[in-house]
Amino acid sequence: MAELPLFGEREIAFLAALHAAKVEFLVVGLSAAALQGAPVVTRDVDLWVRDLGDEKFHAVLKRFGAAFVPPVGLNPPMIVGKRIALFDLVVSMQGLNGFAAEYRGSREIKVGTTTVRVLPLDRIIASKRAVQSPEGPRRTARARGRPAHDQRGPAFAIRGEAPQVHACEDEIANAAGEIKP
Amino acid sequence: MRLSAERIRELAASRGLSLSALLREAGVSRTAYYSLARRESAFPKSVSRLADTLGVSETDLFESMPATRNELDPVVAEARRISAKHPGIEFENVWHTLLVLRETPLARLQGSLRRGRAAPLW
Repeated sequence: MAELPLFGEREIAFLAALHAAKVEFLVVGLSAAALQGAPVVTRDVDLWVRDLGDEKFHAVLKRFGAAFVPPVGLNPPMIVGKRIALFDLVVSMQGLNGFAAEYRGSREIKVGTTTVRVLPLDRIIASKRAVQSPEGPRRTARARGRPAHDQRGPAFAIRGEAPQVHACEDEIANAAGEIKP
Repeated sequence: MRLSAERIRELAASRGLSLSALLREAGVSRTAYYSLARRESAFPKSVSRLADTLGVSETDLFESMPATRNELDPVVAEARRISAKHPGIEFENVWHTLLVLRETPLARLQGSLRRGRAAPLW
């Protein structure tokens, strides 16, 4: 029997609810890269929310039986809930500008029945490169409360060649007619 | 025409799938796969008999059964062009990217998550 998709109707419904509630957020990291066609693997969908104190955001979480866990000590803020288990919060993106600037430069992509704004590939690469710099992993690890070696992400742990593919992304994109500058 | 187990493994690997994962995803049992792989021909006997009677290859009986890998997937030619222009990039990776770009964003994300969850923890 075919397995249910890992990212199915309930996850799309969650994104649609955020969109409908006008919560400003970006899909970032490798899931954003995957949405844009990069051959990467990931385990979760990182969301960068402009204002984690936004009541609209909390209301959507509540509707999905989820909750926001504020940061405590070195532990970063989290969202918890069975129906949103695939999602993770990112509080800042290393090597990038602030949320507002990145949001302005983001791309809109249709995901199932809804649309989401995602960080463009070149900004994801910039962020990954910053994380890979000698200082990067340590700083990000502190920010997210995970061991530094986890912070490189699956693309670089499993597919070390991924950034090189991105280097000719325009050409690949033009060939496929999907990603436009 | 016999199934190429090596080619299937190669294609699966280029998509980040083990053979087991491929079979699971395709809904093909191991028994069925190995049974097919052992056969001298993956075509039904009736197709082979028709081809033999006509004195042609089984592939001649299908509307479009390209003879070479290039024709099989025009994306391959494009991937070759791109990887030739960017020698540091592996052909398989460019090819995979082009194939992924043919899918919807949702399908891309689902594939990425499926492979990520199937992979050992990093």
